[in-house]
Amino acid sequence: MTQYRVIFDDPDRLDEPTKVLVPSDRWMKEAMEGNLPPISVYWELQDDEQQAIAEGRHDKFQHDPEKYARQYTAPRIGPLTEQEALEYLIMKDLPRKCWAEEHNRPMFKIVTVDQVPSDRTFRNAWEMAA
Amino acid sequence: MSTLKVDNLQDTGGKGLFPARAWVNFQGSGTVSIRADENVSSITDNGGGNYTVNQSSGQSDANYAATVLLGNSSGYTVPTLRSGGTHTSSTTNICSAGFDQNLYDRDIVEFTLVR
Repeated sequence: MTQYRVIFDDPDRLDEPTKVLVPSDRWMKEAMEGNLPPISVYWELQDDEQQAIAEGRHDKFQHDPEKYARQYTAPRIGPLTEQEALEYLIMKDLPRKCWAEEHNRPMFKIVTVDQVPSDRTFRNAWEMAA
Repeated sequence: MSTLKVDNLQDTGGKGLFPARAWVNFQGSGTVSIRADENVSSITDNGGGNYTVNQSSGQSDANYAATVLLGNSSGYTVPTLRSGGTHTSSTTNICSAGFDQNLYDRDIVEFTLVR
């Protein structure tokens, strides 16, 4: 069971509380066994969909069947370490602006579970420490 | 163990069968954590009562049906709102609203996606 979490801020929504990404143990196992396609497969799908959203045609949008099938048919990239799997997950599930663009402070951090508060009384006031 | 790979499932009468394409059961309060899942790479705790489910392999479009069941340890279920803001072919936003429309954490969040 992974003991890591990824805390991050969305650069487009800095007024929102810091978010916490919780990896799936099942997915981490798949990643560490080498069952993932190249990350570019997901990026292509995300790019196409974001373009459809920007152009206001998301409700009728369908992925290109060939690109969609690559999720299952593309050659697997081989086993990853736990850290590599987390990095892959960050590039897959975090907003791309978090990690692909430079900011005046880090937009995400990999932390251990015990570094994330379990008291959620003021959850909407959480901010990433410098 | 053997794997069955098919494009369509039908019963003996020729009617389509539609298994879940993704599901997850997670704790949405305290230390947010996934209890069990299939085809889910991660969940995101966006803030109080606001979560996102990220699928391992996304769907061909965003016009799927997602069902969400929310509860506390007592088994009490509450209304749910699903925001359209970040609803894509591979991510679904879940907002756990109370009767007052404020968002609240829930001990039990169950999500199922069918397409």
